[in-house]
Amino acid sequence: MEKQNVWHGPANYQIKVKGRLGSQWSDWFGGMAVESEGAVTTLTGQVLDQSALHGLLARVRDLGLPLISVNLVESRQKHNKNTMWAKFGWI
Amino acid sequence: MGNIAMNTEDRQYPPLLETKLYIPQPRSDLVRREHLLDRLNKNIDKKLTLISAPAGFGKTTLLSEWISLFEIQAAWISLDQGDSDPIQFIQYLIAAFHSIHVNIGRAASSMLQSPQKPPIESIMINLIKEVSDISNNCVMVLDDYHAIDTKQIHNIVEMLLDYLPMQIHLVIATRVDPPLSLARLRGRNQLAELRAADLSFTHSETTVFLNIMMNLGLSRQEISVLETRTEGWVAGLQLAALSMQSRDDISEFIKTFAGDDRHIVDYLVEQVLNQQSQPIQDFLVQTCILTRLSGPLCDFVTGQKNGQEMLVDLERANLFIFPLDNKRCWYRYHHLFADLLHARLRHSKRKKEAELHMRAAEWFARNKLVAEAVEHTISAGNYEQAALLVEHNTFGLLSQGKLNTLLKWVRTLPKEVARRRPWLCIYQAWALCFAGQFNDVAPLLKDAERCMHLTASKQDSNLGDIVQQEMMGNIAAIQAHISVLSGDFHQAIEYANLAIETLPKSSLFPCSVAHWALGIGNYLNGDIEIARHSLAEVVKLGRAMDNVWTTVTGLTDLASVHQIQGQLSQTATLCREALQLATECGAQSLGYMGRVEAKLADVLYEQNELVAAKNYLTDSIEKAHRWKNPNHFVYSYCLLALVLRAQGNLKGSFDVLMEADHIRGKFPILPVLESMLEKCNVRLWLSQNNMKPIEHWAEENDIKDAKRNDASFKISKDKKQMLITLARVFIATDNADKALNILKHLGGDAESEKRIGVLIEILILQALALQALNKKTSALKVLERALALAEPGGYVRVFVDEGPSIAILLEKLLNDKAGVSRAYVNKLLSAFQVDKLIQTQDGLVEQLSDRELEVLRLIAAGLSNKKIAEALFVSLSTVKTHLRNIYGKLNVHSRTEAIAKAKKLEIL
Repeated sequence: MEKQNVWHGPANYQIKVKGRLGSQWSDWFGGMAVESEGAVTTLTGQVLDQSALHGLLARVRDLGLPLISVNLVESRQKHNKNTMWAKFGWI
Repeated sequence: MGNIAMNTEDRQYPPLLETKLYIPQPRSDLVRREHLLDRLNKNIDKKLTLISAPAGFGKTTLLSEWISLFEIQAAWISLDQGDSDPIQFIQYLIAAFHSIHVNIGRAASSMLQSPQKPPIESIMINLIKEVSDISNNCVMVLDDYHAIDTKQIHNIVEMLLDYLPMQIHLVIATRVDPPLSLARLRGRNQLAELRAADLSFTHSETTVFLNIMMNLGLSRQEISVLETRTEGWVAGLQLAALSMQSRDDISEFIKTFAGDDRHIVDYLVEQVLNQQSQPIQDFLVQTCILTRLSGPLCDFVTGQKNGQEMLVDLERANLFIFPLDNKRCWYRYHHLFADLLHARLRHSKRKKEAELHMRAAEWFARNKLVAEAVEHTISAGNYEQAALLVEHNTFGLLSQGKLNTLLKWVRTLPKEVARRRPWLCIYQAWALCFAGQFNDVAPLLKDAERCMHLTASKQDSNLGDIVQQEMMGNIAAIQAHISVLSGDFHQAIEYANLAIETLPKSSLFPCSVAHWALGIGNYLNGDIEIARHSLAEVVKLGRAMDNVWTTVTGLTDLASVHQIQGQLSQTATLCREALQLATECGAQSLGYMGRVEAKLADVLYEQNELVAAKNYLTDSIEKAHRWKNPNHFVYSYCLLALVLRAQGNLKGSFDVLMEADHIRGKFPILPVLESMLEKCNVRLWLSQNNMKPIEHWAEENDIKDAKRNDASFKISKDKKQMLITLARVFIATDNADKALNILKHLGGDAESEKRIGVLIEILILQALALQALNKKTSALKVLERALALAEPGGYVRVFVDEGPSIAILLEKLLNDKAGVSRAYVNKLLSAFQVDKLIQTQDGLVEQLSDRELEVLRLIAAGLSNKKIAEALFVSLSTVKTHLRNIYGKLNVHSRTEAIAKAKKLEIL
């Protein structure tokens, strides 16, 4: 499994907030996937680095959405590895 | 060498800055929140009131109402994301305090004008000192403090909290608890807090708002539903009210609203928007990208002509828009509202968003608001264009010394973009060079050189060469400057010459730096004639650019050259010119000017103008304290010690020198100043005939005979002054032959380097040594030479400070030699007389007080005791007491004697 450089590099995060937002908010949150269940919305996706994460949290804050949780998500095998395999015809 | 803006236009605030200081006006449809206003009033005697709550809780509204209703004297700063520069933050503080009290901030402002920024603490201490002059209670509001994430700014605010006088109350409104020492303040009961829970609307407030202010006629039940749904969130309630205002089916709305679990703001803003006419909707969506709006700006962005009308209408309809001045010129949207609109825009019309940003950028560019233009261009994702914008506008910044702004603009560009543009690399290098951050300069210059070829080759060949030349010249000039500051004078001269060769004549600023480097390099380690020529060129270029700082630096350094060459009058003239120029721009209290004052005092002392010298030194030392530069301290203190000694205050002299020694012990100082300190100490010991420390010092510093006789033994310039002092000591300790040995070598060097000032000193000592060895004729010959060299500059103390033995020689010269300048020698001899008076019991036993001096002046003017009493508003007996003290201090017994003695001692 590919190790993520959490300090300097991109990482996957899952942010839960209280309040329902539609998927059209994805662009505002830097392309994160926006899904809601009941009164809870989950933002999932790749964040460029820690600074970007805090910028994202500030956006959430500024919309008046109370934070429920922020979680680092360990990624599964990345796409590029698959393509590499494909390239050499191993798949 | 530095570069600062000292033109008067720069001190006027640009219009957007005014909007940051504007105190928002309260609105008429507000619910008066008595209990909160009460709390604000009650806690005004605490150091800080913190209002910390998320967006939309009415923080700004509450504060503006409080200030207006209770007519509180207040200053306001609205912060936003771009405010990361601590220097700019201090400028806001100064401007804000200035709005309360007109005299505040002049000194602090001038401190900010120097390119070598003084430590932030000293600026703040000065500002706080000035602020303490505000006598009545006032409030300083920092709104939207969450926008600040620079540690240095937090430190500044901490300083405010620590040192602001009690009559100034700080209020911080923020969405995020600031990283300040809140716990400490809380512990000392110096902190008042209003948080989200406090700011939520109470049930009665909700009722008043909905049914009275908004006139919605809701039932108790309905109000309750809304309360639950919005949880007392003010913005939510306002949006809900807005949505319901023009509806017929309010009950239906409330039911639907309650049932929908969409995020309130998302839901409500949509409701509010959908109720607006299409033109208004379009307007809102298009202008939401602007942090500040004005009629003309909106028109440009929307392509319509009704911008101003729209803004006024929106304000009247309470559609979350606020004025930023009282001319109805600039506005801003409520953040929440704008964010929501912006999110919609981004989602539906991404391309359009970029277009709108570009239009905004163009408007700002046309109106010379470059920072905003760059921001919008970058928001549009148009990095190349942004880089071009920055490039075209930064050169002006550079020659005006606005280095922080320059760096800020460049840093808003993505790093890769900036690195590929040679001019941007060069401008950054300049800014960092003046900021003293040398380590960061080298990589920038490398980048510049690397992509220089790329840029040049893109244009047609002629232009390419010229541009390349200019770039290379700039790079060489930067290298020259850095070399000077890191002490590599050979390299500095090389680079400087290269720069001068390659730069086009029109490149005034880099040329001035190159000439300066050439001048300093030669002054410290080369040809003094070249130094003089180069520095004169700096002054010329400075005037051509109308850049006061370049001119002042050039004048001061040129003055130093003249001083070395023994041309004291020119030195004084140049120093005075520099001071005059600085005063015309309000920069007279800058630390650097203290150096100029000290240099002027140096010359005046030498010319025996003791009182004038002392006055300049007082000013200089005051600046040394403020700017905390150890070299400056030592220089000024040494000179002061010499002046005091010459005025007969030996004790005062020692005290001052002890302070200088103390500083030398704590901080590293330049070798040349170490030597000066030693020289002064030895002089004082000699005055007291205190041989023990002198002998001790001589032992420590004596160079072995063998070494000294070795012709190839290179003595560093700094060591040379020490050796002169050593020679002086040898003469005093009956080792005249040893002294002559040293002086021979030193004299030869001074002759060849044409350093006249030093040569005069050496010749005088040689004369003394020869006299001690009974070689009278040689002594007189040498002294005659010294006189010839010293007369043009009006040197006095270099003779007098050596003591009575020189007086004897001078008298002999007067009697024996016909060709000697009688006037000059007589002047020197009379100076000796005064000195003798002072050094013996007949001199001044103790300094006259200011009052006594006043009385003395009036006596000299011929007033009777009675008239003096009248003039000074004191009793006759008081005047007689003063007189008694004056007689005692001057050791005289009558008015006439007193006046005569005072004149002799140059007290009158």
